[in-house]
Amino acid sequence: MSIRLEDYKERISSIAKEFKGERMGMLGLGIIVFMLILAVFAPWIAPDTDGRWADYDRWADNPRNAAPVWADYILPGSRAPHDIREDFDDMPTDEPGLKVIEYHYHNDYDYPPGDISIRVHGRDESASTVQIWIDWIREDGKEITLLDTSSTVGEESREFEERYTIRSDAGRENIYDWAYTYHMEHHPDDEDPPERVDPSRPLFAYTDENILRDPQSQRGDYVLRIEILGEDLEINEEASRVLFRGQIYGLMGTDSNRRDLAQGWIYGARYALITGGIVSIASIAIATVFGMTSAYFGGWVDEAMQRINEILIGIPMFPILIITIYSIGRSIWVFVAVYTILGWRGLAKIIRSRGIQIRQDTYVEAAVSLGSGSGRIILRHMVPQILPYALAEGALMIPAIIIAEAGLSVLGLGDPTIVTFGRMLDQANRGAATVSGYWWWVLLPGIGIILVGFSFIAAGMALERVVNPKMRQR
Amino acid sequence: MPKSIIRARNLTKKFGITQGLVQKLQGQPKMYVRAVDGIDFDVYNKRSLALVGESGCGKTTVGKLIMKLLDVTDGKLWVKGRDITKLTDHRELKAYRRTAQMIYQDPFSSLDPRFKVFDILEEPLLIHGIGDTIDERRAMIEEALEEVRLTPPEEFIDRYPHMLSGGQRQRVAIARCLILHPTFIVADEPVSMLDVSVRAELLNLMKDLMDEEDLTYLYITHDISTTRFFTEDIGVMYLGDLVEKGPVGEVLDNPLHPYTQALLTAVPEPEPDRLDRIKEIPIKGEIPSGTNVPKGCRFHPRCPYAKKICRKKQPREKTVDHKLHRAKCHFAGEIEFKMRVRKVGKGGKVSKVEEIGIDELRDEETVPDELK
Amino acid sequence: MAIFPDDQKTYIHNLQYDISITMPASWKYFALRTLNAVIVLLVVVFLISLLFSHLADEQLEGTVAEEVRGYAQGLPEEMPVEERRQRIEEYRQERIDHYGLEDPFWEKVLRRTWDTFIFDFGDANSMQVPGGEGSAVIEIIMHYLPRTILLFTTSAVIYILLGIAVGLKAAQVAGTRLDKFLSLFGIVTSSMPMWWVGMLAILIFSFGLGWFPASAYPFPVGVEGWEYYSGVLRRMIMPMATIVLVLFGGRAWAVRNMVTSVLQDDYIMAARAKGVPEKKVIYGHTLKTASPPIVTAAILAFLMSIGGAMITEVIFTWPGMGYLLRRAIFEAHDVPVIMGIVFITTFLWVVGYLIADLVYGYLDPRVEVGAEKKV
Repeated sequence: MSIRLEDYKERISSIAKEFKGERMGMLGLGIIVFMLILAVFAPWIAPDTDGRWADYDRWADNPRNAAPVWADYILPGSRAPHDIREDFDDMPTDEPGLKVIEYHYHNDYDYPPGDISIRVHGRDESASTVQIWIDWIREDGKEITLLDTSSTVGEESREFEERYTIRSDAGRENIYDWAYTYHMEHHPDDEDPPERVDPSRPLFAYTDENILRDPQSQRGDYVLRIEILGEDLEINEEASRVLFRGQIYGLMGTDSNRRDLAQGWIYGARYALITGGIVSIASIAIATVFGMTSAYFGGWVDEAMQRINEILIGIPMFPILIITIYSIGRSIWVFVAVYTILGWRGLAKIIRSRGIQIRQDTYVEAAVSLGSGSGRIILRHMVPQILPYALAEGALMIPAIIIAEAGLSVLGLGDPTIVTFGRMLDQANRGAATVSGYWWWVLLPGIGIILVGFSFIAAGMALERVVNPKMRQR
Repeated sequence: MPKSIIRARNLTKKFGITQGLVQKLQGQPKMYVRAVDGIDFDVYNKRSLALVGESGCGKTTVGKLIMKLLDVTDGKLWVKGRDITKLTDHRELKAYRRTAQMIYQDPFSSLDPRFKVFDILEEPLLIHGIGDTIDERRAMIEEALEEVRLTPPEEFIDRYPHMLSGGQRQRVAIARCLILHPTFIVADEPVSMLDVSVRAELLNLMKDLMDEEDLTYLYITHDISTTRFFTEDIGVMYLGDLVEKGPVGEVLDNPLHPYTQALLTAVPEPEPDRLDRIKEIPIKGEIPSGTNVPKGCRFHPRCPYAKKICRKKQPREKTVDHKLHRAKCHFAGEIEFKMRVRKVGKGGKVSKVEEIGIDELRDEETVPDELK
Repeated sequence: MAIFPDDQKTYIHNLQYDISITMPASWKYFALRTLNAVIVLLVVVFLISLLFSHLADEQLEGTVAEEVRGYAQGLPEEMPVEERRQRIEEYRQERIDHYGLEDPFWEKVLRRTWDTFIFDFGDANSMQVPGGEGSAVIEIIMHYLPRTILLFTTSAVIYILLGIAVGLKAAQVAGTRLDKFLSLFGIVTSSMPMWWVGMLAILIFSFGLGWFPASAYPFPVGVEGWEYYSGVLRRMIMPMATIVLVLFGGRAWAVRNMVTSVLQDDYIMAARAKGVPEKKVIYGHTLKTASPPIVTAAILAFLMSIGGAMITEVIFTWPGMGYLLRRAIFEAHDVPVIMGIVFITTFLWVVGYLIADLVYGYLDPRVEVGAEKKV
């Protein structure tokens, strides 16, 4: 005796036909399919993310706390996008050994770039050190020297490299000193000038009385000039570059560790589907076997199984998850295993009562009188009937699974090796995203959870309506 | 006398009522419903037996006991000389099921809605390992479909039950039984769920199959009017007991038990031109619950002829004229049955109530036209 | 061998119904339910003890090592090395015996099971009773528990009342746009993590509008009377509103479904046909029938949300059990405290579940132990 696909085929096609009429169900199914595509192709869509989420070097080139790019459309003001400059203008000089390179930046934003990071890489065959000046030439012609330093040339490699950001101590000091003079012009009596604005803001600001208090962006062309003095100098164009770190970045912005939240989100969806899928499918399987056995055999078998199930149902999920994960290990697989072990119990009860109804259908009795054994009746007549029903109930489980996983992350019990919506939100909470106004960091992972949850609820409820004749009457 | 293929002696089936744990702890005695309460009957070879009675009287339970869908609580049940209450081995049971088959009342629920006709008919073959190749089985299935007059078989073989009419479904159900070539079929109200127009046709088919296939039926019905045409013997059940049994003509023409008589008068008026009459069954009240069977004769609370003895003593089987015609009534053969007939005038007004003797009435009864 | 056992349910369905409806819910029902709850509690406690045994032992070994170090420092300097070593060793053994560290594994597990079961959680590993003496786990928990209860019960009362009110309203206008909106609202909010809604609330009302403090911590100290209560209230409004907002939609939806299904019953139709006023149909007839499942489901739904509510505490730094748990897990790694919190949460859950069951049994006399709900 074997299970034959045909036993399920007609049922599937008739369910599919009716399901198509369920608008919410189709919407849910659409979202699920979309998420599935994201999940399956995640390694290609968001390469080098899984496993490197906590590796801050991976994200070093991104802006910090940048809003999503679409924020510009919904919020007042314009924001500087993320701008990576690989090419520079090589300015001619007369002096031997002197190189001058320039980067031009056109500021057309209410919120200018939040940070400027510079990396200069070059060779000098004879000098042991090179002198480096970095100057900022503004629209209004004013100049700021951001850096004045010397860099050692490696004895073997004959190479030098200088990394600089305006948020470094040297950068801050130079910028504030420069801005201070304008501040004092307007506030001659101010003995304790504020220094708490972002160092990038005075760079792009009008030199008015607000330069240190509330700098106003000055639109126009700016030039970043780097002068390097050596003896036999050559600049490595490929390894040198300037980052004008944006106020907006990617589809979902970045967090305070510069991580691209869109890439994390894709993995969040992937792990949500993996955990939700495995737990619910495993629960459906266990619940179907348990519920059907209980319903089919009835009598004392049923009584004993229901007694066991009742005790299981009395066990609270949340504390058990805490103790097992805390003592066994912070792994998503521990979560999956524990949730499955306790997850099937309610489902088994539903399947049992449905199974009792089916068992009383005459065609089941007819099969008995034809001489069918228990196995044939359960597999050929009862399971095909119950399975869509179990699937619907299983889909309705999924939101709770994902919310539970996320909640444990916030308690500090998330799997540190993977990216989930919950872990992103935990990081947002610890990174004070709420009180700093980084709304995207809080909003988007949460929407991920809701989207997965809603899609499965919508699809599950539609499927339930289709397969459960009792509910259809409503 | 023909050989008996089913013999039941003191056949009893009790259903325990599921009690809650609390009731068990409180020491309440376990309660039972006596669905079948110690009945004796025989089904003779090629003499089909009809079991008639109101719903809940236990007639379907008898069918299920014979089919081994339920276990016998007490008593003996021989089928072809073999005590099937002792049949426990899985293989023997399977072999037994091949010889006895059942047709269910509701053809809408007795066929798995996900199976095509082919699958429905193939299932018994697969279960019993008949036919080595799919072509062989297909030939048998087509043959079975032809036997139940679903022709041409190709037209029906790939249909799902919901694509068939009720009568066609019931034919498929019959074909499913026939394909195993059983000798005995329990037909549990096979036509009661069908349109009136196809009932006669189906009963005719079943009757024909009885001859073609050497079948014997246990025909379970609440419609006593069809038995005369369909079976040789009849048993009347009331509240788990067989109150009257015998050859069908004997019983119907000369009922000995007041309950049988009541059932006979419940037959709908066959003559359209006599719609001016409303017959009233002279029995009163409703069928009591199975947990609480009345003492003495179980029919006495409803019996219009009940005397003191009926409340005290359980009647034994009595014969009057025909030795195979027996009834469990203290006054079998002594009662002159009466029934009330109300004349209905124009506009549905009841004008007059009169009592008519049963013999007088029966002269007017006829077998429904379509069964002739 | 019959495939179908003797309890042929359809056959005797009506009878069974008659019997159970006349059966009053007896004290035995309550006793059995209580027994079931105790079994559940024992199973969970045993699990806790089994899983935490290893970790708890490790922490105890650390405690012993620390005690021994302290003891060694207290010994007089002039003591000979041999004697010193011997005294230390004796002391160490004494402490090990005191904590029973060398007892057989199962003995330790069972002892812990029993100790936890009678609320004897021992001393915390590193946490202290805030503003008090010592480090008894039960005292630490009792310091935080009242605030959790304050937040939870207030929210529960509000959300249940609101849920019933809105659910009834939706049932009255079933099929209208309002009804559909409420259904959608219920589905959407119940697929939201409660604590996430809390984060959004902080973003909007604390960061954006500045109406409420983002953090409930520190709790007002040194003030009394009105000032204290208003301070607590100000901190409580956001977490409470969050809990209510997330839970009441789902509750309203459930109430609406129960009421509409009762509204389709024959006797309600009959009442309407007789001309009983619509208000009376809903509040009198329908609510009476629907109230047992409504009450039970409301209690259960709230129990289910305990996890989410505890995390909501973390988000608002509401100094309750959830906040304590997060600190015990994340900062202190304090196994006895975690064990204690887990046990108390389980205890509250099991008791709540029991109450839900008993309430149902009390309100609905048809309920029976062991058999599924009839009709």
